[in-house]
Amino acid sequence: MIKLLKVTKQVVVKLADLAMLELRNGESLSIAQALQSKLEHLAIFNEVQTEGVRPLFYVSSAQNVFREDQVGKCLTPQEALANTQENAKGCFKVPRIV
Amino acid sequence: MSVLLDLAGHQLQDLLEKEEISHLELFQTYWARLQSVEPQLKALLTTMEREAKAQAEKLDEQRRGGAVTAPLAGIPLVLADNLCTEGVQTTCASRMLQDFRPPYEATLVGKLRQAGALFMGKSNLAEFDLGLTTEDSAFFATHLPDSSEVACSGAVAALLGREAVGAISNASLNTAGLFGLKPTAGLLSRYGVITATSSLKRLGCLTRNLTDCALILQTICGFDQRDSLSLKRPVLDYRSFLKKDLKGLRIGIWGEITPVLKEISEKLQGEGAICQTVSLAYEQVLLPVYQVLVAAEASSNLARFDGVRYGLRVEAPDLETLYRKTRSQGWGKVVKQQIIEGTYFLSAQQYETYYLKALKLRALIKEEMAQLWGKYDCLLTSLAQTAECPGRILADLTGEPALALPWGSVVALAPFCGEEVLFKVGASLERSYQEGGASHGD
Repeated sequence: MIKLLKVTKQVVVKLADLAMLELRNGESLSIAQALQSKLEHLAIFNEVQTEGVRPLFYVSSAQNVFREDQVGKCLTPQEALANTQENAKGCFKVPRIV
Repeated sequence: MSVLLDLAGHQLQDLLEKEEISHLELFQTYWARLQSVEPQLKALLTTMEREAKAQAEKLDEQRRGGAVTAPLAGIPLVLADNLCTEGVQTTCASRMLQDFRPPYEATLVGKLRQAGALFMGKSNLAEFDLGLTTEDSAFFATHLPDSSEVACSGAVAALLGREAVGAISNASLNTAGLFGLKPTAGLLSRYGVITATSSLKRLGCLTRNLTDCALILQTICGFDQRDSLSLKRPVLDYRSFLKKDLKGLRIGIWGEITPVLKEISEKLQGEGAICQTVSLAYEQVLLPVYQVLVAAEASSNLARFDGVRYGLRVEAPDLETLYRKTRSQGWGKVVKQQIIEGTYFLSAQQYETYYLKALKLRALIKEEMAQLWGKYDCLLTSLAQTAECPGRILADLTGEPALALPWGSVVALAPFCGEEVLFKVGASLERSYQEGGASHGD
């Protein structure tokens, strides 16, 4: 059941933090207002009963699509690294984490 | 303007086969058109003169050595810029990918290339196809007379290419006087397509006539083991559906009956179809369900963009700051909005209330459509010029095919793998309007 919550700037800042985003001045407030408006429209979800209904994750009936465990063509290390700005010894390079 | 620009793709192929024109001449005609119009139109993010000219010259050489049998040989096409093209900038209209040159190509691009198509360029779109128009592109807005159109259709309408293949999103269902086919989910491979929403927005083709549409679909559809949800179905001769009659075809008319929709239903009834108005019980929840799922899928799919393996990278002293700064600077406002909303809908406290609820509603919608298809072969609906129009999104939610018609923003919907019905209906109307003259707009 949807209970409408107040979407504050602080809520949006927290969500941005979870999504690894930094928001500029004014962005948090405008996003909060847009999300608040959307949540108000989503209250219509309360009007339709879905008890016992199985969620539809994808439109076709495909499940557990496997393939044979055979080696096929894949990117070479050079191709895989071609679009990165930093690489070393055939690896993607990132700032130190420890 | 050259008469070649007025001919359909299959008519151009006739001229090429009879050697009345060369592939190079055809390419040069379209390239001249592109050069004269594109600086003002700005429909393309990347032009591919060198590649297209090389393909044209190769085809001419093949023709000198014998027959050219490739089904789309020499036909100029525009590709949406979310289709990976090997070695060619593919940006999804986002700064996040502004220098990205894929090391591989999308399955669809490979099929079109093998079929002999000339790629004139990569069209602009809303950033990661998450907005409605190219005003949400990170680079520039395409200058089209109707701001509700997107660049792919605008590019074809302006004859920068004969047809286009790209993401047929909601906005593309407003198709600038073109046919816009969104095939059944799984008919076209998603391999190499950069999309923010895996189960919703799909690829399709935009063409000036249905014969070309059928030909392109036949060329690009088919099972691809690199897409785990690719349908294993035989490739049909879609052109054979263009001449079938409509006697007894049951057509539901859904939503507001605009003058053009009324005219279209009368034409179809004149051909033997049976038209009745229908309503959908879950119509009111179509848009809310769609909005939740788009945001949720976008926030999940876009998590891969972190500045490490490809795309924009903003230098930072530590890894987490690199992620945050890259992601913050790489995306525009609409994308960030969707990510924030999707994060909310997928959060532990809200997951059941919004995301799971939306998926259950989606199941109900699909079930309702399944019952409807027991009574009707096709639905027609008119798209309002707003993002809130449910006709825009029903096909996305169900995975069923849709064909946008070039008259009055009317869309035809069909059951799963029901492209035959769409071609029948579209072709009948195409013949009718060609005989009777063009219809008025909305």
